[in-house]
Amino acid sequence: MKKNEVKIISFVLLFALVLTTLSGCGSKGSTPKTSQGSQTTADTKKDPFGPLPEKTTMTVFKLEAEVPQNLNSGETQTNNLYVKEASKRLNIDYQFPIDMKGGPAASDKMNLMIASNDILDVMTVGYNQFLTMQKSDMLQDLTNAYNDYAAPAVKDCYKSDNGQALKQVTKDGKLYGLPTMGCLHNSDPEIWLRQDWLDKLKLKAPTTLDELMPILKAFIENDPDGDGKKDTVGLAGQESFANETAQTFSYDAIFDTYKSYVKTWLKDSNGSVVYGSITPETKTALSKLHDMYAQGLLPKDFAITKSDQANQLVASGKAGAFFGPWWSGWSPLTDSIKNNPKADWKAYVLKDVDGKYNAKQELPVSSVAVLKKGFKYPEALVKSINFYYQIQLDDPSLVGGDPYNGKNPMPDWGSMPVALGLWRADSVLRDHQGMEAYAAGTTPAVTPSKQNQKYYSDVAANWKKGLSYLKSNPDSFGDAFSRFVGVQPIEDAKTNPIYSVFYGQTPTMEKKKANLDKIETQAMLDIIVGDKSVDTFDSFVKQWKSMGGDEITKEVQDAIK
Amino acid sequence: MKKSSISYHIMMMPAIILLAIFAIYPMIGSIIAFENYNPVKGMWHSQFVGLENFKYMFQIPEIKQVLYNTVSIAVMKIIFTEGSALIFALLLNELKNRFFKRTIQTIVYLPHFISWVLLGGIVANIFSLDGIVNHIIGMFGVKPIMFLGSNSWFPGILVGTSVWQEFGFGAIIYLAALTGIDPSLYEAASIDGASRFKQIISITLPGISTTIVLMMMLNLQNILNAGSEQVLNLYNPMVYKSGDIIDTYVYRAGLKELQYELATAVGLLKSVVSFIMVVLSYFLADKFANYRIF
Amino acid sequence: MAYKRKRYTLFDIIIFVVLISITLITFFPVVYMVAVSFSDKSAVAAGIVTVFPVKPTLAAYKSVIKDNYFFTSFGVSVRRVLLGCSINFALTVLTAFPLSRRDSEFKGRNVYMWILIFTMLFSAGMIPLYFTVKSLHLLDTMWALVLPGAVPVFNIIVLMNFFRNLPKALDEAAVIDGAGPWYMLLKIYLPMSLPALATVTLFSVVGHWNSFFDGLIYMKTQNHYPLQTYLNQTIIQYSMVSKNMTKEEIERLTKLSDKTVNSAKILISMIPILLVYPFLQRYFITGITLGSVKE
Repeated sequence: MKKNEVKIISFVLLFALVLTTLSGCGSKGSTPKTSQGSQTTADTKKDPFGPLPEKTTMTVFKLEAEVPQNLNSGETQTNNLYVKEASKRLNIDYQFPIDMKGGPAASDKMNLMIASNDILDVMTVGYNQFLTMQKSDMLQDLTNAYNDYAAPAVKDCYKSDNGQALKQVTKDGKLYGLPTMGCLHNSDPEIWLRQDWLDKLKLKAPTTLDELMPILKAFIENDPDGDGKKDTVGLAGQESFANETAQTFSYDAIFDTYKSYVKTWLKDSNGSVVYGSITPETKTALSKLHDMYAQGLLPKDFAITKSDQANQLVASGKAGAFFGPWWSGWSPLTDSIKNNPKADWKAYVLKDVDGKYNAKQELPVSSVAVLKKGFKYPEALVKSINFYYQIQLDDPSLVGGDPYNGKNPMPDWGSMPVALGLWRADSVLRDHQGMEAYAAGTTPAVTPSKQNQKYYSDVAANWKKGLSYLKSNPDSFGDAFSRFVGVQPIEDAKTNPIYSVFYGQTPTMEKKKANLDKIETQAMLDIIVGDKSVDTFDSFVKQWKSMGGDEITKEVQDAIK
Repeated sequence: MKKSSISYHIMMMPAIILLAIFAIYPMIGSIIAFENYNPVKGMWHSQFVGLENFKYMFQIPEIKQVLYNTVSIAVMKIIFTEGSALIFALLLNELKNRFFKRTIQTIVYLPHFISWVLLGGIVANIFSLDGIVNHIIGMFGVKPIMFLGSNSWFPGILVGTSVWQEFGFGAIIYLAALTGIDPSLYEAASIDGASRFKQIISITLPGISTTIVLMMMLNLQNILNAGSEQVLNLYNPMVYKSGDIIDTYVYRAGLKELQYELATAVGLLKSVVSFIMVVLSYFLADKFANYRIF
Repeated sequence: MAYKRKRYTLFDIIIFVVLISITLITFFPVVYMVAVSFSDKSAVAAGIVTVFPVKPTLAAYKSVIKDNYFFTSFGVSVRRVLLGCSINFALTVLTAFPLSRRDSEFKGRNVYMWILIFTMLFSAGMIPLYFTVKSLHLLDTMWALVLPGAVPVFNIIVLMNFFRNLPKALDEAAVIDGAGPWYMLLKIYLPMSLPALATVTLFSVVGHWNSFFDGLIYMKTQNHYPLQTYLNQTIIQYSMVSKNMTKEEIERLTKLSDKTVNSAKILISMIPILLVYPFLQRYFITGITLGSVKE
């Protein structure tokens, strides 16, 4: 019996072994051709919009559209006039082997391709994926290609955030990708309030957090929806109440008014790096949140509320106060006005004791377009981005004009051969001011691109038709309402933008940050929801430091030298 | 005897060949768990680091709590889901009306197909401060309980809702097994005057005992899989203490994106534990009940 | 003569009531989902939908079905189920039978058993399997969906267990009649195992129908995706997004306010299963006739 068993096992193993040898023990990742940057042609004419020396194939990871992209009938994201025109002008044969739409599936697919070293020439990846790829040496150095070939308008665009975005994708002085830029003010949290409730209860608009308190109390106690029931809540909130960047329904704005910039790396007065969540200001903010919770101004269950449940409170008319960005008009407010046409929302900002409006800015980079190492003409990626930028946001004539000129609405950035959502970091204010000018019949301070001219005039026209028109046409509500009502308070308040001094990952972060975050959240909740006294904050800080926080702080300090 | 033995080997061949290609051969890839994996260098040329990746896992400060949560939730799920599936199958078996039997059977296994992205919202609504459950207990004068925020209630909700989702599907095997019991046994018992209940205890249960034991054992392989999709959609920071399991920790740490080798190491460890559990239960059954589960 | 009970006893009534209650509790979320899928998305966002649709609309279904890929992926899944389940069925039967023999009859049975258990418990993960499929040039073919999971060990063990529980008298009678293993399997064991066969078939169908991840990593073009992979992509209901919105913002917006499309997706996928199961149910009849075995 024993013999037979041995026979069978050996047969199976042998079979597997044979397979192994047949497929070769060679590495599945082939060593890429090494070619450093484009020192190829001695040609001094480095034309940002001109063709490559020879027709080159470039495989691009591009997703099909989730929403209609205003193309001509029969066209798709990968087969349209933009792609054809760019291909002709730049002498690039764009190929799109991947055929899928967006969603978490796309990210999974990308992770698989990265992990199996089976990447396309051009991929637009997330920042974490970029870091992994760069660390594994999969990416082409774009420094020279960018310096020599980037269009002036593109370079100008990347300067609009003081070089923050480019800095995040530069390692050892070399540029490894073309990033999208975080938009200034995109995450500035405003306090959105039901103006009709304020009017009904004869309340004054708030300018500070303390002035918000009586409003919240009144919203809870005084039956603002007039149905005779005490069924309205105070300040809607969600489980992610403190983040790197404010989210809709989070309480980051409250922390901001105490100059407590949680989850952000800051420089203190001595120039040393400190983590925002362990500063004394944070302790003060937590104390205030504890008081608010104890007074019932925050929903009792905010810490277990997911954002779609918080959304429900607003949409159903149970909440008349929440922190949200300028673009809240799209969501949650569209749902709100569809269910309650009488809802009248307005946005305000809360200032700190010095009269300043502090707001953490969103990450300087969200996606990065990268090029596979060894691609023969690195400038191909840069030129593709130039092409997009000229048509959408600058002077299309430099690339022979916009193939869709005259089409209204015109197709946007998703239809470009390399779909990178790149625009200036100051777009929020620029767009707002442009639209206001159109609505008032004046000329905008900054001349908009042709695409933006159409966009501004459309939104401005909708806005001029009035709120009741917008409420009866909810599809147009989000854009116009956000651009006019949402941005105005931010423009008036002149945000004090807060940036982190470091956005990457250090070795100890990879190992220990998840756990530090966990104890941080739990410590904060213990204080806010009232189980522990605010003095436990000090022991949390000690614990945080000893469990890896100090190590990480030191690594960050070294990284930013 | 010899002749039939060859036939048996032949019957096994297709499966063995396919398994060798698609299950055994890829296992070589487990080497990733012992490396500092670099996709460009590939699995053969990445730096070998021995047990480093495993050491990392055990250095996670809350690892004991996370492990405890994982195992206790998984074990409770196994016991209650299999138990409910079994009881349900027994009850349904007693139902005489064919039409109802088939309709009920079809309906109760539908929740198996609903993803937790949607179920999460439903459960959150039901157990919210002003949801149905709190309304009901309010009628008895009990103050509203924040179920999904309480470390005492959360595991119970995880197990309970999981049972509700899976018992219908899990009952199918038992229902199939029940058909294998000889009906004449029931007839003989009822002639002897045994009550329906007694019949269940002395005929039905023993009749499907092998299936029950088998299901218990097959479920043991999931002892470290406490149901990540469900937990991710239901948990929140207030219940990390009782609800954080291995998979949710791995998810939050972004291991799949950043450090594939760690995710592989975790998977490998889970498999080893499952294997040990299965082997243990097999030998225990063999030694003490003289029964070879498979 | 068997005594046939004509009346329903208290026991029956209790059982009936209990079962109906359980069923209603289980049925409620399905009813809710149907209502949500036919409701206006803002009404759903406000939480006012319970059992009946509010502001009924077909918008969610339209967005899911709106392009042809829905139908092609549906077809892919149907073909996958037909091919994959046939392979599963053949392998399950072929493998469960020898394994159900005793070690004395089939030397090496234990080794095979442990090999199967081992493969059920250990897996090196997505990347090595991907490489394997790739090196066999099976990427973007139906075989990539059907071969890696061709040997359903769990189902094999379930069927094997069922075989082992069949009366030994069957074996003895067959041996006396001079029947070989193939005859035993095909003419005796299979016909006696209809409920178990229906069970493993159901599991196999459900497994193949619901699988989405393999379609995602092995297939390259939309018209090769199985249904769940196609559905797994983001589907937004209408063009409510601004010109200058990043993909991340669009996705955040969708998640924040659209359960109707998710519900529609789930219901659409459920329909075929709802058709298959009743079809298989008729095999769940009290099966064994011992008439064939006379002392």
